[in-house]
Amino acid sequence: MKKYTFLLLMALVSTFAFGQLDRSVRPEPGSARNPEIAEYKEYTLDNGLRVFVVENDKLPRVSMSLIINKEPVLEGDKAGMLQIAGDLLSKGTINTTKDDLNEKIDFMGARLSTSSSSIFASSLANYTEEMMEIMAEVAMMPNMTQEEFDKIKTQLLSGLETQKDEPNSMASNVMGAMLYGKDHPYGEVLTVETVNNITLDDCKKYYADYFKPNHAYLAIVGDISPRKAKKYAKKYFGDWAMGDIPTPVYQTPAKPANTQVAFVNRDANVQSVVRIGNAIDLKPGADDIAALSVMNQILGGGSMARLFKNLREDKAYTYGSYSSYSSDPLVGSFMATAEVRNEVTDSAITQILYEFDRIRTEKVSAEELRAAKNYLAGSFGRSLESPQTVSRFALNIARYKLPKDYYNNYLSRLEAVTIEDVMAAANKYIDMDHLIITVVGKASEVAAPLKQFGDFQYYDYKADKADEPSLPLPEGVTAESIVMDYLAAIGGVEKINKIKSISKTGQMNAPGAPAPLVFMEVIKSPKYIMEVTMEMGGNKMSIQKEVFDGKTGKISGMQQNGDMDAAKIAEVTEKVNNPISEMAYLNPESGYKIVAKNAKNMEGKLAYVLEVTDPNGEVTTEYYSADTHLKLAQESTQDGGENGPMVISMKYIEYKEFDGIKFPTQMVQSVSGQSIPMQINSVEVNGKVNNSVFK
Amino acid sequence: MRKLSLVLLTSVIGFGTFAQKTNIEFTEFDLDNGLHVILHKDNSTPIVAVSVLYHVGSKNEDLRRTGFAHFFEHLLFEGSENIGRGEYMELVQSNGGALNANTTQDRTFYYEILPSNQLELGLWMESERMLHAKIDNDGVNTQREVVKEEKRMRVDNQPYATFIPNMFKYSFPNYHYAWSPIGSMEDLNAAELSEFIAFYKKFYIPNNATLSIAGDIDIKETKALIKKYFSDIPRGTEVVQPQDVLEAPSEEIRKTVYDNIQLPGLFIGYRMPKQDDPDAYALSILSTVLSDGPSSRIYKRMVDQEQVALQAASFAYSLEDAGLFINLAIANMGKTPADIETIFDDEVAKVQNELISEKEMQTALNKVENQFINSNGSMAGVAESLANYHVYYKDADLINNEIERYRKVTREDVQRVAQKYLTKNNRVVLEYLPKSAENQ
Repeated sequence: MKKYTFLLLMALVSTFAFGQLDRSVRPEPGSARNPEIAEYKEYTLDNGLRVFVVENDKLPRVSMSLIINKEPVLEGDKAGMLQIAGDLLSKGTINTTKDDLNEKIDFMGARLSTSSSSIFASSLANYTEEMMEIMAEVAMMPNMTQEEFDKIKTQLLSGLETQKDEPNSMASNVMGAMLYGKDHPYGEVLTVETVNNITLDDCKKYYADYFKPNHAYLAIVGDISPRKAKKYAKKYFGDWAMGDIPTPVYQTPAKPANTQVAFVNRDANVQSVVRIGNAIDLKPGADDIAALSVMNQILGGGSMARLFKNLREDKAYTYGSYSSYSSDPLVGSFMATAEVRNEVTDSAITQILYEFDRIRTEKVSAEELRAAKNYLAGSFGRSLESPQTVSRFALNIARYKLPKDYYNNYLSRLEAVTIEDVMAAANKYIDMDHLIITVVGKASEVAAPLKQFGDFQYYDYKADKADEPSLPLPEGVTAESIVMDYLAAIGGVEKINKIKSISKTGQMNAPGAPAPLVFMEVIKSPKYIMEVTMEMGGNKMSIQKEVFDGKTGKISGMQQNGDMDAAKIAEVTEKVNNPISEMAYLNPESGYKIVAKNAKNMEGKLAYVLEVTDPNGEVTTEYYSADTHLKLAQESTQDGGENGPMVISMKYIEYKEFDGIKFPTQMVQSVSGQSIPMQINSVEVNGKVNNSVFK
Repeated sequence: MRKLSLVLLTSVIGFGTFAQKTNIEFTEFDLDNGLHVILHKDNSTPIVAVSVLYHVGSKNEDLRRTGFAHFFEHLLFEGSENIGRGEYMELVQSNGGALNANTTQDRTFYYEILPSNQLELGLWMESERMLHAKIDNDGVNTQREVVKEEKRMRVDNQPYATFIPNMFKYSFPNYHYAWSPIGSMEDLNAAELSEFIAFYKKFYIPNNATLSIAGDIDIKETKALIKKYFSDIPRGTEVVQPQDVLEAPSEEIRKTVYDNIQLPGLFIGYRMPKQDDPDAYALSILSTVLSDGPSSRIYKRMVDQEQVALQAASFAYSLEDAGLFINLAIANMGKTPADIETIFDDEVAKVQNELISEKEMQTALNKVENQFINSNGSMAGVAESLANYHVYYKDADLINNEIERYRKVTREDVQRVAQKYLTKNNRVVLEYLPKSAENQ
């Protein structure tokens, strides 16, 4: 009996100690407490300044924000003016020098920051009145000096210098310009040029135009009674004079005709910065904002959203991928972002577009809808922890003329969103056929496959169109290897060395010429002849003829008649000695200098760029295919007299093999942009050449 | 410019928190298994922050397996015996909560902020993580890639961002602060699953953890729930914190780093005593005098008056066993690291040779006070501070009175620590130059 009791007790104890908790059972929530939105008081001073007060004495601190309520300002060729004007506000007043102002604020352990449309101050509660006084002084009588202007400008320029190379800044510039246009306040790009156009007077004018109390709001939050706050506001802001401000009107940005891919090259990138989105018409307080917020939450609102799960958790392309939207009285935006490793850039875009399409065409599940609503409701509840939130609500209600109870009804609006509403919002706000895809990345590794997504264009960090970037040469590729590979590709050095003679015929279609120009060329060391003729009415006319006997030569034709000069003789001698001219590049005694510059994409093919300096110091840039090793093109710049420098280029379109050696058979020559197609009809290597030809 | 400040700020870990007038009340106790619990009740908003601090950071790592502690910060969101893969975050968020975690050289910190009616969910989830987190090849492989992306984004792709790892590498050779929490991708690649499991068993135990909860709670109910979920988690073998001895440096170390930057930067780090040393408080005051706010010495001179730098800062990077006092600046266009260094050295010499003014001392204390009051503005902040103070200082009440330690600092102390620590032999100087300058 005793034994049994003992065992029984053991069993009980163990049940109690180990069996009591079934860990697989997930706890149920307790009864929910809805967050209360704190009350705020609102006053309007006689000069029209609207004052909002949110009292919260949890911590002994007070913050104040002054907001100028205005339309966005288009800065045009002075982009950056608003930033400088905003910074200048904090650099001293008519009554207080900048150093004194800074010392006063620092001593209180307080903060003051200014922008072109706001002033923000925070301090411990015992300094509230002093801070309000300083803030009013800054708002009402800033002393904008040339000295401070120059300093801020220098800093802004230095800042631009760092942003030039900062992938996210580059992406922001280009995405903004693509979404809204560079002539819209939201799409303007700051550059060194625009900053250099700004003057102190521009900043002063901006301040004088816009800082008016009847177009401003003052929000005071924290450990202060509304009565006291009102008293201080009146005391320090009461004398501020009213006035009108400009009300510019802007065109709604036009949609692109097709999806656009805007690529910004940054060779150092190990990750690509990807942004995909479109401009949207979404005013603050719009009816379907709640539906859009739920849609966005499900699609890309955080780590339980589809983009994050797909791109990070499932595929490990990225540290995170998210979507977001903004409402705005002028124009808003919808956008998805990710920073993904180079090799999966195209796959990541494919997946983002897949998720865009899916949420537009398939219903979200009831669980996703529930989870998204809970998440948004939770975020709303957490945001109320900060007393600033209530003042933000108050300001939004005033600025956007929302109903007084707009935020009190937020949770019920959210709860009312249906599965159908989510799909409707996705279709309305994700514009699949007119997206902007901005990628900042290493072009040589990631750009090529992105052309599939839409109209592709390179941009620089200033959002100006850019040329295809040059690429680094792969390891082991040198000037010598480029030439050796080329020689091997056309037949090999051994065969080339055996060349005794070459005879070529061909033709070209010169613009304006009544008939094709036919040419023939024969090289048989040390002799040379070249003749261009044209057939007109059955008669063969000689346009130009060059004959060389190894020592002297003659030129005859329509434009020129006479003996070859020394330079021409040298040129022809060179040709006779090296019928395949690239052979000379490798001969140290030839006087040629060759340098491998970089790599480049040429019409979808990777090419190596070789800079060739001939014995006379003339430079030709040659492009060799990385794949076939054949020469794709060459170009040089020549003095065009009073017309300025002339670019002469030759593209080699097709090669054919004749007697074991490949020769270009289709070319396009272009002189200062004018193209002349050329073709070689026959080539004979080491054929029978009668000396009578050279006459 | 704004972007740049962010980069620098995110590299800087905060110094700690305290408060003057606020009185943060809390209750603390230990469970039998050694789990330390701290509770703070504040019913003003219906939310609750549930956090667990594990006293394991990069300093506890094997030298050949750096990055482990931070890797766990990711791995331990993979799930548990009762929470499916990927479900951890979803459970929190779909119930209206937010969560995150962070890792330093000294500890790993996990938290959820939930609607207060979901307190029990948070406790269940944290207890699952502590008792039997899921550690398998799938999770390890996925999170390896994620961490690599994090490193690419936060370090490799960011201008100047390698200065913290470099500074620690050169400042603390052969010491457990020689490497940074992000660690080495090679080490993570080389690690076997069994090593991850061993790390979990060694460090993720109740007697190496602090559960800190702040928000809309009932103390009695919360205690009962904590017992329900945590008391059956077995105690583990006591963790022995690393005991390496810090070698005294014999000479200045200078290095040049070529980075993807346009403007040169200069970073000077002086070795500092550990964070609970009275001298660390004096150095913190000194950093405030030098560069906090537009009237501070370095900022005023370097950024405003002489315009040598686009941005300048000094801060005390304090850790459990040692620290670094870092002066840093990004040069303005056309200025060089040498220009910056001259001014830093000159300003350091001034604080070594003369007392700071009474007014500067008061300004610094006011700033510290303001900062500390603000750090108690959120429940998550309070939970984290309470846990930090308990673990590092064995005194959670510092949340209310750490300011007294700052008040004890005298102007003479500030001068003395400047003389003692800000010496050439005690420093590492990193010059950051644009890559384009490398071959010149």
